[in-house]
Amino acid sequence: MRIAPPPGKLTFLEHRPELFAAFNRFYGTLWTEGVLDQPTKEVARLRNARVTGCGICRNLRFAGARDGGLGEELVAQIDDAHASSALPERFKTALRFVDVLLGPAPGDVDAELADELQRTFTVAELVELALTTAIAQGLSKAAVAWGPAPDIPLTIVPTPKPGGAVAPPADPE
Amino acid sequence: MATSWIRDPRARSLDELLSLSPAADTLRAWDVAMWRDPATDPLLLELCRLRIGQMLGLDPRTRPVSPAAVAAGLDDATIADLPRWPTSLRFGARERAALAFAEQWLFDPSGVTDDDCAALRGAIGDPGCAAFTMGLALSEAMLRLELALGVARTAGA
Repeated sequence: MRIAPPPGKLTFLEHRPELFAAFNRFYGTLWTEGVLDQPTKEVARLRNARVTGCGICRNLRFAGARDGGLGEELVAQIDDAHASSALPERFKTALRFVDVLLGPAPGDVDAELADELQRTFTVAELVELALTTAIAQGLSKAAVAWGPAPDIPLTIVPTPKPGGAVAPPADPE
Repeated sequence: MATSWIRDPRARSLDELLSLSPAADTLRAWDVAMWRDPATDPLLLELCRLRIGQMLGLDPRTRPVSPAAVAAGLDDATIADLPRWPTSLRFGARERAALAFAEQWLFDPSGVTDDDCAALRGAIGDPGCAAFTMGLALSEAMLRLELALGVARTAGA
C-alpha cells in the first residue's frame, strides 16, 4: 500500500475518522435499508469489482446477498459474457446498465435499455442500482489507486450496516 | 433542464431521484461533511470534480461549483484553463499533483504510480489524501449518476 493506515486501523481512509464514519453510515444504510434487493446490488458491486480490477472487492461477498440466493454459480457468470449467460433476466438487465454507468460514456443509455430498465425496476430501485454501482466503483478505485490491491481468498463478510463498516481484510503493508 | 429517459415526474434532478432512497439523508450528510472537513481542500476537490466531469463530457464552465471552492479562490479564468492544467501558470505543483491523480483515477486507476501517490501525499499529507480520496470517489459517483440517469445539471438549473 502506498499510504499506511493510522496505527491499529484497517484502512488509510481512517486518517479522517469522522468522514469515514459518515461514509459508513451512508453505505450501511444503502445496503441494509435500501429498496433494491441485496442480490441485485451485489451483482452490480461484483461487476464493478471485475471491471475496475480490484482484487479485494471481487473476492468479497456480502452475506445478505448470499443468503438471498446469489451463490457462486451465479457470481461466476458476472463476466464480460453476461449478456449471453444463464443469469436471470433481472440481473442481465441490471448488468447492461452497470456497464454503461461504469464506462467512458455513462450517459449512453439507449432507448431499448431505458425501456427494459423501466419494465424491470421501479424508479427507486433504479436509483439505488446506479448509486450502489457508482459508489462501489469509488471504493474499488481507492483500493486500486493506492494499492495495488492484492487478490484475496473468497471471503464472506456481513452486509454493511449503518453502525458498522465495510469489513475487508486489513490493507496490505 | 436535462430530459431524463426515466418516465417519472421526479426525474427532474438528481436530488429528487436520490430522495427515493432511504440512504439519501446519510448520503447528503457524508457530502456535507466532505466539504466542511478541515482536511478537505475545497479548491483542489472542485478542480478535480470539474475536470472529471469535463472528461466525461460535461462543460466545466456550465457546472455549479462549491461555494467553499469559490471562497478559496476558484474563478472563471482558472476553470477555463482546466484542460491546460499541465502547462498553465494558473496551476501550481499542488493542483497538478491532484489533477494528475484524478485523471489517472478516472479511466485507469491501476495506472496510478508510486510517484503520483508520493506527489499527492507530499502536497496534502495523509489526512488530506484520505479526505481527497473520499471526495474524489463521491464526486465521480455523483457525476456518473447525473449522466446515467439523464439529469446532468448546469449552473442555475
